[in-house]
Amino acid sequence: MTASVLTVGLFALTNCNQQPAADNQTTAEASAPSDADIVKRGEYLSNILVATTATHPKR
Amino acid sequence: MTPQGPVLDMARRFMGHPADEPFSAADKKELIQSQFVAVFSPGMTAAAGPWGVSFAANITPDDTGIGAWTEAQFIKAIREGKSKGMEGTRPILPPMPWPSYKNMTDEDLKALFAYLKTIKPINNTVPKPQSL
Repeated sequence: MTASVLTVGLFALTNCNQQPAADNQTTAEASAPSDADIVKRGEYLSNILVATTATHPKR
Repeated sequence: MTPQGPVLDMARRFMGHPADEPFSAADKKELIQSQFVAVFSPGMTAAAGPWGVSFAANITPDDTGIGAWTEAQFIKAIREGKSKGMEGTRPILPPMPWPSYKNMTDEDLKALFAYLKTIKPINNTVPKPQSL
């Protein structure tokens, strides 16, 4: 019984430390902004560039 | 015109000073030299000051705007205040506050350019600057 518990415990511990390679790759890909993210950021920043280029009286 | 000034017309955003709205230096010189630091057109897209008369640029992705620009040109324009982001061109004139934006990161400037490339192109040839 004790040996079984120990075996299961060891198995669990060793598997906790093992990350499949795909997870690491997914994490790296997830941290890079997508094209849509970049454009969205640009849209947000464009609001601070409004200056005189966006002010037109409605005709 | 409203009591708070002109209302933003988002359909014409970033198109620059409308080509069909005259704004000349002829009647502004005395005002600039005697009383005011700058005089603006009603839509605030043209300005007369000690630098002469300048017009807001068309920064939509039309050929009359930044359609042919590269990302490098855009970054150079903002970082160095060079018209069209090209060597040997005139400086970007006031009131465009490019010195306030020149320290933006590459990431931010690239994002800005990417966004501007997605907006609706507007055909509008902005007048050239004038001297007072």
